[in-house]
Amino acid sequence: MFSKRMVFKKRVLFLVVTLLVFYPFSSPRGALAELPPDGNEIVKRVDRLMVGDSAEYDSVMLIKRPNLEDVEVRYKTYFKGRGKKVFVNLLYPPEQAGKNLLLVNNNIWQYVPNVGKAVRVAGSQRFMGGEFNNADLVKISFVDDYEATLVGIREVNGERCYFLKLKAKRPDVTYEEINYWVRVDNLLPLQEEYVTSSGKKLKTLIFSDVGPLGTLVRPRRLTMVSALRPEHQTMVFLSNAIYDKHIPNYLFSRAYLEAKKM
Amino acid sequence: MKFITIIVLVPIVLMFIVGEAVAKVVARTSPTVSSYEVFHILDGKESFLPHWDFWENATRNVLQLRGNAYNFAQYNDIRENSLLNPENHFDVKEAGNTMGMNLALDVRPTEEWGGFLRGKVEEEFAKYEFAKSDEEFKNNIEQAYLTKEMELAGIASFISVGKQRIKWGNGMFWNPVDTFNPRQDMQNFEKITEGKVCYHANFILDNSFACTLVVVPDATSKAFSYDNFIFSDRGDTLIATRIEALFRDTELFFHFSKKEKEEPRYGVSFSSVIADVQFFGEAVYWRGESERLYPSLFSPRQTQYDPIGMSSFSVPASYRFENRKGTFYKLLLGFQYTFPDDTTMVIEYFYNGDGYEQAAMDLYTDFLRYAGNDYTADVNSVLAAKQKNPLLQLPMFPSASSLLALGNGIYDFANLRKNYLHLFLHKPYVADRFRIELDAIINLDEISRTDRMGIFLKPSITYTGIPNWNFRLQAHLYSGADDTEFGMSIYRGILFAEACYFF
Repeated sequence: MFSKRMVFKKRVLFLVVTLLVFYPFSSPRGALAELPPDGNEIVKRVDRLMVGDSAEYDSVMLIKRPNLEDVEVRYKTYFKGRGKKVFVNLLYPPEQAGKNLLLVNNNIWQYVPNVGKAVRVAGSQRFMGGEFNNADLVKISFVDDYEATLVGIREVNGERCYFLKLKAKRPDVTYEEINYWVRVDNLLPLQEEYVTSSGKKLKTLIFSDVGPLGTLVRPRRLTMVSALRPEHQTMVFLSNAIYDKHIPNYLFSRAYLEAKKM
Repeated sequence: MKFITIIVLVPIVLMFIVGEAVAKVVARTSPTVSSYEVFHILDGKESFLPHWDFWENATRNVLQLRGNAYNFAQYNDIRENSLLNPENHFDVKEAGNTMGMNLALDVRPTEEWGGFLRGKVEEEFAKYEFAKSDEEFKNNIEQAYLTKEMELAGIASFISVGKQRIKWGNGMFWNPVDTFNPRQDMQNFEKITEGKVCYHANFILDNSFACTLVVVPDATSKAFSYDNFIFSDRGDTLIATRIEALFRDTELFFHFSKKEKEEPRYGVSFSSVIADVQFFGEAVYWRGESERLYPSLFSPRQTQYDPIGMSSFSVPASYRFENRKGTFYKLLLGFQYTFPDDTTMVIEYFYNGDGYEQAAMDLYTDFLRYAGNDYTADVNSVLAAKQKNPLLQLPMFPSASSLLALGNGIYDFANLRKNYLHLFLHKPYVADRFRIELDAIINLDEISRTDRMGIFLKPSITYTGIPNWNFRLQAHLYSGADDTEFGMSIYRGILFAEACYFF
């Protein structure tokens, strides 16, 4: 009844229509087709996006303090195990060069060249007097430390975001609560607000300048602003990211921190 | 039509797949693809991030030169009639100025091979109240070694050979398990200690287990050096090993060391975190000889008469100093906490099993009181004193080796007694510009009588407002009755002012 040509045309038409109908519902990497079941799922996916299995970044930190010269810090960061192991190789300024940091699970050490050994440091201690503390620098995954609740979808600076409340699972976690905004379209974080259990705001971390970072699209600027002293800001600029690079396990050991010495 | 579909669609799909793969490879290998420069516009100023070259060179570390240049002025308040300096009967002041530079050269021509050299040059000028001024130029190679990274039987291994500094232990002020640095220089806590010539191997199984082996071919005794040498006969070889393990939030270290003619030493140390509080501890045990020499009365003070009996003279008491034999241990326990305002507090308790009990301390202070300066100087002074005073030639007087050991008594407060407490407070970023610290060491054996309590205090304040510059004011204060450990110090106090630039 139908010619071969008509059958072929119908098949092509069917294929095109199918693609057009279902394409909007396809899941480009990182985005969710529909509202996730709970906040923990969002946090897990964001962690997976941001951290990956392993990565290496170059970073420049700019610490701005009123009436004082800015402090510029340069370091390389190596991640492995979805953020459970982090090694920070401090390269600049000369006074701090060699004072490398290591995170393994919840333990943080810093190599002190003057003393000649690695010492434990508190995650809550400020890093070089800026608004990032040691934990902010090395702990990048929330999944194991926080219980997340999805409050709703909000619009921030014209961007639709999931608004989540994260509560610490254990008393030794750095922050008691975090207000977390995650972009809906690409699951990249927009903002983190660190608060005490009484609701007092401590500081805010803003993720901006989303663009190519290595082979992926990521926020390339992190700005931490103190709520108590808004004129104090610390910025981190990320570059030269390499993902899924083979990083040997021994790099993330206290023994390596001391063996390397510089 | 099918034929056209195949020859059009298939190549497109193939190109897409291959192109993606090529793009990924290019991105990872090409600096111009994976790096970029970011403007950051702050306060109206444009600036660029360092380009790829900086990162490549920084991490390849082919040749790196670092160091610091410093100038510090020192003002000493010398105690009168100190037991360790009995010839000084005046309240004396001294001043000095030291200019110097520490240089460290790190060479890594390949990923596996490296070399490290650290040295110091200093020009020291001292002015004494009752003596001639003195000027001295010093230079010293503190560390010089080669390193090789390799894989041995699948285990990451780091071997280094040469003069290098090794520091073990979790404690802040005392490290009983540190076989290589048994004494802490209380004149300069931040002193970068000189290394020892040794073979040092680190074997890292993974991030939870590692083993370290150190062989010091010649752990010689340098009795006059208040640096970090173990007292032993010349030529003794020392072997030490450490196994470390990380279980969740707790690190455990097991230590073993053996010097050629001595019994082995066993040690264990740990550090852990519980609810934001860090706990740490160390313990070392050995059987054999004590590290310290203990005094005993050889013969009491006597009054002797000449043959006619017309005149008399006093012969001082003589003392013997010997190592004790037995079982000894040292123990350290401490905790560290960082407050929300960044203030860090450390409290440590140290049990020094090798220290003097009160009876030995009384004998020691009697010896110092009656023996005079002859026994607290360097070997040349001791020999000269012996030649000058024939009585000192008699065998009843302490042997040369024990005198040499005691010669450190002037500078070496290496824990004379048994029980100590250390308190450390550290507050950085005060007004974004200052760092304030306070160290206090209390001799608990001397705390029972308030007139005898000995304490050492070290307050300091450092200005850190200018990047790479430190300006520091620091004091060392020694307080206590004259027969206490800190009260017998030749210094009542020392004041330092230092400017240091890092490059």
